[in-house]
Amino acid sequence: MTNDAGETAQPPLPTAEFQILLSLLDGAGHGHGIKKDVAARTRGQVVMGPGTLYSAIKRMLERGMIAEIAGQSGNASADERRRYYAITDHGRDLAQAEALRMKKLVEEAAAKRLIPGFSPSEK
Amino acid sequence: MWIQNLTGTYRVLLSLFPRAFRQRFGSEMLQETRASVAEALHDHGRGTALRVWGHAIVDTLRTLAREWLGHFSTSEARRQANPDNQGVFRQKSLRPDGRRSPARFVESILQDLRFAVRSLLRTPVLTIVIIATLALGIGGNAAIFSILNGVLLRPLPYPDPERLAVVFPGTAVSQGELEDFSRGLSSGMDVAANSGRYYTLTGAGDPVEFVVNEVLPSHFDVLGARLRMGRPFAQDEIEPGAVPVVVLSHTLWKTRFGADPDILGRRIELSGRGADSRVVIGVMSEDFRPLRPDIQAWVPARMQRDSVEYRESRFIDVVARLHAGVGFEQAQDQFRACMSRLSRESFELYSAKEIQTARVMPLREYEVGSSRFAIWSLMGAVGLVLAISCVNVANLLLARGRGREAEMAIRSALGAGFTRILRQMLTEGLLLGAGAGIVGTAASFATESVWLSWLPFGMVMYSHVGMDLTVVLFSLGISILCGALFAVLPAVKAGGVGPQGLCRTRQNTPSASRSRWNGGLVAAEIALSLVVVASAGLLVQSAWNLRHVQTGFDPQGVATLRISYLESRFPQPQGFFQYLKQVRERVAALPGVESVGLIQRLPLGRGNTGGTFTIDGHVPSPQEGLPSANCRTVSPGYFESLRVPLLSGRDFLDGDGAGEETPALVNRAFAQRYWPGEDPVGRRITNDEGAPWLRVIGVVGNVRQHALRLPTRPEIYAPVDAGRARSMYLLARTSEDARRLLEELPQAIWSIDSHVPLSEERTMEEVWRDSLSSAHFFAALFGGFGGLALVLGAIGVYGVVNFGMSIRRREIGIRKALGGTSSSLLAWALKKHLACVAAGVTMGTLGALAAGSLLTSLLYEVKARDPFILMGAAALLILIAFAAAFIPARRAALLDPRSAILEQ
Repeated sequence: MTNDAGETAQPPLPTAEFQILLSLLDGAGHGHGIKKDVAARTRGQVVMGPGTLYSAIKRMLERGMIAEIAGQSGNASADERRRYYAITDHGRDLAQAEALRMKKLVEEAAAKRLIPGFSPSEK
Repeated sequence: MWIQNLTGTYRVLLSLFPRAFRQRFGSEMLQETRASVAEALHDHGRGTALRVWGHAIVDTLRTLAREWLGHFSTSEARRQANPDNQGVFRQKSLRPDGRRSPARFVESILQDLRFAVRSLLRTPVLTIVIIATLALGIGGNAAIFSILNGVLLRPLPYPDPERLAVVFPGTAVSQGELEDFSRGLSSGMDVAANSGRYYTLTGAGDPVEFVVNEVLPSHFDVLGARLRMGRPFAQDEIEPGAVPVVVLSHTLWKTRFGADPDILGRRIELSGRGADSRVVIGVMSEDFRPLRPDIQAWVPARMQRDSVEYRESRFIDVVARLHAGVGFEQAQDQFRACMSRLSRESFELYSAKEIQTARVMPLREYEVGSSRFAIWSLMGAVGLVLAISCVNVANLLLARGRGREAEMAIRSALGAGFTRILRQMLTEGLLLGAGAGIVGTAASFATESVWLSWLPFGMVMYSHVGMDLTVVLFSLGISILCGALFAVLPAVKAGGVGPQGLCRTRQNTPSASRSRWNGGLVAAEIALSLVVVASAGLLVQSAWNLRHVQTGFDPQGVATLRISYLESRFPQPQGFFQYLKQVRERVAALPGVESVGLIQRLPLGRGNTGGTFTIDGHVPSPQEGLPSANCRTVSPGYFESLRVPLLSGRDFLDGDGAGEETPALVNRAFAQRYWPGEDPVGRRITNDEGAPWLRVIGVVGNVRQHALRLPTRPEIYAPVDAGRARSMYLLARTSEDARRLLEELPQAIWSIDSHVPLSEERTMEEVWRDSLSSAHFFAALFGGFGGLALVLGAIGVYGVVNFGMSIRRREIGIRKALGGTSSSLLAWALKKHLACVAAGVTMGTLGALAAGSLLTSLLYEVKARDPFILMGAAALLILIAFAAAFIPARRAALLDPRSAILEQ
């Protein structure tokens, strides 16, 4: 997976992974919290089922994009079994790369006048 | 509550994930799902929660597939990197350490799976035929099993249901007995009463009548019922003089009182049993299942200790909860001891026989009663159909196995052991079984609402029938079993091939053992089909007979509904009678109405009244016992409306009951039984000692009173104004559509008094059809299974004969070359078949006789050993067997001998 050629060779991140990374940029969170945050931020456009959520978390843990951190809440009794995840610097890099890739994509689309009222020169 | 169920299902789903994934994320996924569903339920209600749940399931299933794929591809990659890469053929011989690592094992299973999929896809039509055949059998089994599960297996929806019992002295009990038992049995169980009675609710929408459960205060504890609000009954509320109170069902509270949160303490107009209004003291929780599904409210039983009814009127069922550690045997002994003690104390209350046969039985046994047997018989029939499907599939696989004999021989020559081949076949079988199981179960799940609507009333009454996890597991189980079973058969055959089989296949001669196999399969198919077809014949004949039973009345064009007596409205019986007369006149004036009448209980309806009576001048000897008959009150016009013939004398007239002497009509069964060869008109009878005499004024035709199955009992009809009845059924015959008349009736009746509850609006044809529903249900299901068995059997026989002929092509070619004519060869081919058919029919006949005797209780006017049905079924099967054999046999007979001999 590691590639010396740099971030340009990075394949696009799956939507779920990118959204999870975006959520964790605001601070660590647990599975259900991430899901709710994503759903709220996308106004219900991206609703991840438990399978999608945790298989994404699994892949991201394996690739070091996120890491599990010790439970942070004081009232441990209720949330004891909840695991909290935080974004790693690698994850942050990947998210940024993805965002830049998207920006480039948007600019290309705008150059073709696909997006009304938006031209790359304005930006 | 249901979230718990969902969680259980989700756990099952999670258990299917690869272990590493499951251990790491399983509990988190479960928590996440539960939280999402709970939030959706809280924020948006049940519909959204279910959608969220469905989404979670679909999503998880998709992930499940992906995780396993990922799992396999990594192990595959590892395998390819492994230098001592092993193929299907030489796995066993090349194992250096002789031990299997788990990874290796999984890997070889995956290899089998891939191989099986590939080989099944090579023959797609055959694969589809096999899956469809099996899916029919498995789907049918899933459907019938879900009924069996719902009615017989699923625990009753009460806490510790296995301790719930019915205390049954042979009949219902009186209030006095109830209190005696309650005291006498207190060391072993808590006793509760159960009796239903119609009460009338007014002042909350249209007047309505429903069943109210009259109970002891212990009732809620015994059944473990929880109230949504309010309190259960207090001990003193069963005493005379207590304030009348009521606990409402959740449905009643919602539909009639708009789920009023301040309902407690409100007085509602619920009349029945001496009270016109009652104070609401509680509302039952939503998930509580009453002992009868039509119960809408609970009231404390009012103990009428000073009335004769206290000891005389027996209408209560005794439900009890056994104390922990008390078994049913022990409870029963205790109950019998209690009865003998009571008998000793108060003058021979129970006979020795009554005490000996008194029982304490599990509540379910009491509720399910005779349905138990009927359901098991259905399960047996559908099981046979599945067996036929399996034989068919075994057949098809065997036929295919022949084509693969060379493949097996080559594999075996290359070092694949018998177990390896067996496992390969097993994998294929399991794959087919699983495919068929999924298709079949999904199909019966999808059509659930259709076949549930066919269930006869008695069976749905006490049960929660429907698909659930148990049903799915059951289907899965039988799918795997079938898959394994029919896969092993050809595998055993093929496994015996060995490398030398390479030579044998070339020769293309059938082995003797193969012929035996095929013959055996044909015989088995015919035998199994015959059992199902003959049973279906018996049940269809029964339904036919029932349909053509002379009911004694003409149901066509008659509308009926029940008018209930409102005690508060008509405190004097005279008022009620006057009212009924008005109703008759009003309905008779409706356009199209030809005649109108009233009767206390409908023919073919539920319930009964009657008892013993005395004939004037006749003292019965002790041997013959007291004469007994049904008794119903009817109004003038009743017999005319149902077209029941008047055989002699005259019909009732208005005001008959008000005269000095009350007239009565008897039916023909009565006249024949008690006055054979005499004219009953003018004779006197009385219902009760001391009651006024009734003078017989005429004889009417016999009517089936209870059920089409039961013969007409002797019956006395008294005029409506001679007795008091709580409710009456109105019958109106119209020259037009009875259904349309039914819509007009309520307005006509309510135009006199809008506070009278009306219920059970039906046409008499519907009443008649309902009484046939159970017979039709069994006839339709068995008929369907019989048809299925025939089709499957025909396909099977065709397949086997076709196969048998195809492996004898050389032989047939030689025979033909030596001078055999086509017709002689056809005869030869069919003759070979004859022995198997004969064996099958013999076995099947024996099986059908056994099955028939098991079905006796479901039959009507047809003997379990009815020779015509048995012979008809056998003839049908022989015909089909030969028809199915004829096509391939003829093809073989017309074979070109040259090409057949030179083949291969």
